[in-house]
Amino acid sequence: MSESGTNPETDPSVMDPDDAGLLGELRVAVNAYDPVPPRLIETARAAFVWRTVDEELAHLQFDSLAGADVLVRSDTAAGVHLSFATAAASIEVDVAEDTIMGQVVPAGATGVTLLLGSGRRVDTGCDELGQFSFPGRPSGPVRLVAHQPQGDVVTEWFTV
Amino acid sequence: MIPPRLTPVKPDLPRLVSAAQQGDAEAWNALVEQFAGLVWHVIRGFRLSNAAAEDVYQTTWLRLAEYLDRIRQPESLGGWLARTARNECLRTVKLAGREDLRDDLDLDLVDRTAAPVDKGIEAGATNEILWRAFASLSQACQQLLRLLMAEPPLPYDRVSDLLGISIGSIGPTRARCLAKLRTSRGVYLLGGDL
Repeated sequence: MSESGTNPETDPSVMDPDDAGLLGELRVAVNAYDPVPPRLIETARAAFVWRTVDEELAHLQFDSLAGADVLVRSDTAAGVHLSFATAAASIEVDVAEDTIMGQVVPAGATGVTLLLGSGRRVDTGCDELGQFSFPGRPSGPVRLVAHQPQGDVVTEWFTV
Repeated sequence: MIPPRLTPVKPDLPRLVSAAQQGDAEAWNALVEQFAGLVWHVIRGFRLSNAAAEDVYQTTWLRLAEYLDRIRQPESLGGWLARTARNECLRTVKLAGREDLRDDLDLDLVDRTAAPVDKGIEAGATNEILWRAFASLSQACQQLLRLLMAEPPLPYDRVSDLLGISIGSIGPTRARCLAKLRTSRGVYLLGGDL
């Protein structure tokens, strides 16, 4: 590493030519030995069919796993809590070891659909308080669609 | 005879995003092609299991699909994808905390049956030595170098943001990580312009 004539202290775009050469070689090596698996490119392409078009998107408001502090291991063996909301409705989600439970607010939703990234879908009903539950704990990204009289509300994708 | 269609080498981002927003799957595929490597680099900077890494990859693109219509600044798409992937990685690490998914960097995800891009035996050997040396670097070094080798390049303020380090420390850290790589066994012996 030669340090003459460069000022990396302030501007990262200033780079030792030898370092730039090595980084270029490294890029070639990493791309050769650890390329994006083709099936994941297919997965990314396929995601387009899930474009949110008609439903109203409920944004993530709270995630018990959120935050950048990865050093503090989550010891909440109880599960994961998520909260999604639109201007007019919210969907609370509690994920336990082998069940996904939740509630649609305000009450009145006729049912909830669990969508899996694979394309599979599971439907369940809501009680008079808007509560619902799905047995099992899916792997991979999922989203919920709450069927309300005013129209469908769909959550962002999440993984549990 | 239909003349061969000339495809632009670097289709401009605003046009692709806008076409994808209109439902153009070809434009979406072009976006995937352009940023597939960046998202992969971000995810592979974390020590996730195969399954977890694949879930994060899929989730990141599903997120883009659902946010596509809300994108107002197409030029910041790379940064958005990188941050989305990183946040999902951090979340997955936490989720995995009690499930012990956080095993060593799983190289099985690499398709070993596929021959590496072959530029002759010598280049292949160089690649292998560099790859092994890279894999032995600290996670922090791997994360930084991966973000810096992404194409199209990620702006330095994004890199700073994603890694939680100041822009001013990117240069010195990069130099330290590359120095470590250069002095690794094997790479040192390659000599020459490395």
